[in-house]
Amino acid sequence: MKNNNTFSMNLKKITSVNEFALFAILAGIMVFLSFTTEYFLTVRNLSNILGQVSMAAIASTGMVLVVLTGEVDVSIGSLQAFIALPFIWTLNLTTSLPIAMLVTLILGGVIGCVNGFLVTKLKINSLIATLGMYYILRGLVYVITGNTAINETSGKEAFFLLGNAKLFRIIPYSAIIMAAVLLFFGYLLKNTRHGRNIYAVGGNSEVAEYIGINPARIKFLSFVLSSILSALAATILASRLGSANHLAGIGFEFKVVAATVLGGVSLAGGRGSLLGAFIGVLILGVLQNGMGMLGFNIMWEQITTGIIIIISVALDEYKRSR
Amino acid sequence: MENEKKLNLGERLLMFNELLLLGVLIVIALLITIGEPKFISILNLKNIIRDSSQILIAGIGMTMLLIAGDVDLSIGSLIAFSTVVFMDVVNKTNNFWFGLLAVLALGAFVGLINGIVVSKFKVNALIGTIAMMMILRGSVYLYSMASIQNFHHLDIFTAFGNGYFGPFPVPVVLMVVLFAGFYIVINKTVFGRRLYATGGNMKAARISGIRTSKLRIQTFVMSSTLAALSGAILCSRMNSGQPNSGNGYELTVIAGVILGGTSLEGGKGTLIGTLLGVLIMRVINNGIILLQWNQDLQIVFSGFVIILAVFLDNKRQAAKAKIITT
Amino acid sequence: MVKTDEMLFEVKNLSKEFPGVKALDDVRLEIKRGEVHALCGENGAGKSTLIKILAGIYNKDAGTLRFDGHEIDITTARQSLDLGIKVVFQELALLPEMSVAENVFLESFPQKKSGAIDWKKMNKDAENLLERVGLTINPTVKLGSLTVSQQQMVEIARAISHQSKLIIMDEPTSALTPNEIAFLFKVIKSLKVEGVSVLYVSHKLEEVMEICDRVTTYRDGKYVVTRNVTETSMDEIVKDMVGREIDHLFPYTHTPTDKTVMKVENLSTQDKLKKVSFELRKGEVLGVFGLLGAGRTELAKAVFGYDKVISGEVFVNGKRVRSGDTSSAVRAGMGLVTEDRKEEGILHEMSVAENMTLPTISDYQKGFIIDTAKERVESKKLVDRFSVKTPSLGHKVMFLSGGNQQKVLLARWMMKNIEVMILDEPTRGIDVGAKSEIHGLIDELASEGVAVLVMTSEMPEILGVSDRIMVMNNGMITEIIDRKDATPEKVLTAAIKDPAKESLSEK
Repeated sequence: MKNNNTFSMNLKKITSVNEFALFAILAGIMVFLSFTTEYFLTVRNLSNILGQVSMAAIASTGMVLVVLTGEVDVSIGSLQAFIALPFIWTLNLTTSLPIAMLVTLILGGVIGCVNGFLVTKLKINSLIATLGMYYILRGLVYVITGNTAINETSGKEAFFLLGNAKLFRIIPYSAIIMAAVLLFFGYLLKNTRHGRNIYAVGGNSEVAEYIGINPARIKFLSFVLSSILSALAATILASRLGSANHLAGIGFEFKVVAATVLGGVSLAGGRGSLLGAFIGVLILGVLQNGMGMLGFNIMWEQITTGIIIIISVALDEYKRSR
Repeated sequence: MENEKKLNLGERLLMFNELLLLGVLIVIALLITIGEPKFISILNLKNIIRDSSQILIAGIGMTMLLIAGDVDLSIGSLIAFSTVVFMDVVNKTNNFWFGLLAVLALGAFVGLINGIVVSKFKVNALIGTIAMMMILRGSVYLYSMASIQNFHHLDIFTAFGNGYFGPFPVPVVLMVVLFAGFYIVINKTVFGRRLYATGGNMKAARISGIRTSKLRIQTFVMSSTLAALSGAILCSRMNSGQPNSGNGYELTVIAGVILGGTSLEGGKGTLIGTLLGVLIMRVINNGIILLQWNQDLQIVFSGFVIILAVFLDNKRQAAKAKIITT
Repeated sequence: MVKTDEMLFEVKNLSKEFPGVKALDDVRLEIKRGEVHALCGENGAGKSTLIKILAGIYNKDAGTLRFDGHEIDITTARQSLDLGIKVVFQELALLPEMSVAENVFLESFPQKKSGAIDWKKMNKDAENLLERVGLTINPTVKLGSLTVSQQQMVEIARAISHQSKLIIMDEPTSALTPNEIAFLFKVIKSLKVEGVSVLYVSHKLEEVMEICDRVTTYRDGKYVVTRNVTETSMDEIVKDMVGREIDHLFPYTHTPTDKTVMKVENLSTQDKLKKVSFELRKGEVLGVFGLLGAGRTELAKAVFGYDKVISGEVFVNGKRVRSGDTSSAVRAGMGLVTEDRKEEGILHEMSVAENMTLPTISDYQKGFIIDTAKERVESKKLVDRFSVKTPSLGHKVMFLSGGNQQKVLLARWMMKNIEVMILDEPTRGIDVGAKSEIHGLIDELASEGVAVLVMTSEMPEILGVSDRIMVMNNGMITEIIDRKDATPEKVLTAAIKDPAKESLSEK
């Protein structure tokens, strides 16, 4: 009897929360686009969207880990361009995709360590520290490449398939990677001690400290994971572009932050879910796709993203103040 | 104060921020001169000062925002927007003053929106103005994808950025006047006092009857208007309105201001510090060009400075906390 | 019963110094196994410092600790928890965004063999534990959705959920209803039976007499005495705490008038206040009393227009004060000194003079420029009148002592003719000398015709300074008692009365 009771309570909890509302918004936009455009509701287009959002979804998983602890990481856009350099170099040199990816993820982790060090050890505001890193990485890309793209010359098919091919011509490989990442970190956040510690640190770092959690360690790890995940996204992007492009990832960090806060993850920390952030990514992806089909200038994407950030954060503040 | 004895040499140096900055500035200038004696030429120094003036005009506003506990990352995009609007309006009206008025109105409007979003909707200033940065950058490209050329050929327009008042470049004169004016506003007026109070402790300021929201909005409006003016000068110097200009401008300004000892925590900061901070940034950039290093190093370097400046500020606050007895 | 004379925990020669203050000076404490031991003392006696050292939040400077027969050293919170020392903090140490069950098991979640969290077991165990402290709630709801007193019980449930040997309760009843207090006492008694010791830190001597075995008293960071509760009396404990009979005379020279200065009508806020109405008269001191969570601070801030109200109005001399706009309150002649001096009062980086003139700074304008000479002259007058101890007017206020900072904050509102002064816990955390100076000042203000609203949680203070005492509970006024009728019992009874049933404010 009691179990039954908790089950109905759980159901009530699910429907009352934010994810449900977000899903309704997503569905609304999709229905609207199905009626107003000819090609939106085709298997091909929907599967394309899935491939397009995979990078943001993977990076936003890392962003959720960071934002839940009450910090933020805006260096991930520049990291897309920067980390693509060693990726393409290693690939060209070794002609092995696994080795190249491994090197890339490790270097991503190293950058995450630097971010984590700046924030947890030197106690620099994370927005400023990662903003500094954003300029450093982007500047280094320009300096190193001399403002040109570096082409992939290994001719490995696997590299091309990573970002462009689809399983059974329906499910993009990148979407499969995305799904794996989401499932793994979804489980981590919900069902492991570390996951709950992330929430505890963001909720109240003093309380967390009192029960023996080391907030600095948790935050450090989140920054490392965030950089590794965006490095993973960068490999997919590089495959789609076929090169390490010095302009890759400009504005990517803000898109990911926008999706994350739109998904109900509070910038104050301690509140939000991976599912919410993922729906946030989907909403932005569908909007981008739809606006293109409706013939809007591409610049509208930036403008809407900015407006969405402001509205989501303002709503979150409003919720908190009540 | 006997408690000051607890501080080590480095911490004590941090307490004399302006002197420290002046020392750093001189050392850097000397090093560059050794590498490239052309640095010390009148022409180059004039260029540095003209360059710095344009940045300082925006820096005055940013200093006030940081004192009030806010910050504005959208000024780079605003400056791009300003150059485009300035050139376009002067082209269309053939009147320099209409153009200037339009630019200042644009700045004030953007500042108003930023101020409302940050103080009324309580959106974190960094996040809110990053969003505004995207909105403005998108909007300026909607306004014009290509740069807008000078079709009016008004002399006053060219003189605005490149001309001289007697022996002094016009932007420098403009900067000096604004600097003096705002120095008085910040240090001697009721507004200035309330600015420091709001940034220092917003709750206490409100309890003292200060309308903190209104004051913050006013500060955003002033800051954005100054940034737009800075954009107008840039437009005259480029002799075109360019939608892709002003990239990273916010970083140069903020790095200069923070380097000058103004704290991101609010309630602290001086215009003199900003002056020195911006000068250091510009001298180094000038050095990178003179020494023929890769110019993109400027971006890398600014990123480092901004992290370093916040780090030093943290150290300074920690040192101050040591002095407090109770 | 496991009741033995075996010592569980011994503290010897413990000292802790903060810059400028000796918080603990060579103190001792002995707790037996299965004993409920009270720790008493006034503000500043060193109780909370001791708790924080035992919890591993502060590290001791000197002294020895023996626990369970071993000499130990507590340097981290985790160490303290692993020893079996659990603290129920006065200020809730919980996570409102997480579920009730998670909060109960925060320090170690039940896990499956795979290492994954065993949610089923956690929720079931939590439900049982909550039942034990008298809470029948669904453990999967967010903690933040509970009332303050329910949250307090959750925190108690957390303390008893793990292998605890010593539970430290810091003012555990301040937010609880009488019903919940009864339940808490039942829990404490059953803990005793299990051989768990409790360190019960409280001001409320009735509770100490009822539930505790022995009582240790500290005064000004020093150990005074340990007594058996059965062999002592409340009077004796009070004497131990203050070091003398309570003979502190509150200056009372003013005479209130009948003229209404401020009128508050049906004030309600989102979270706390429910239709609060009252009047404040010229030259009167109206004391506002209530237990933690009663709504005193909320009332002060709502009346001043600092917090937005959802309904109701405030008038000063017939002029409406706009909600959410403090400048309208200041213009109407109101002043507010909040309980949180550091967060809501002083401007650390500003000088003594600048802090004093902040609300009135526009009076010092000459053209657009501040007349600093005049500013100095006027603030000098008040520095002298309040005998603020500062080396100079230009001295940064952060370097002053707490009592002197408080005087600066009071002086802030004396720079002009004020009609209504609201003081929220004006003597919290300041030394005895400054305390009585501030009591004198309240009397002086009233004599000058200012209407004073004083919020306080200290019984002697409220009885000593007030002409009338307004008692609150749960965001409502339960009773207004005249000075001549006021006794501690009456005030306390009113403070725990269920206001929903019979409420003056609902009239």
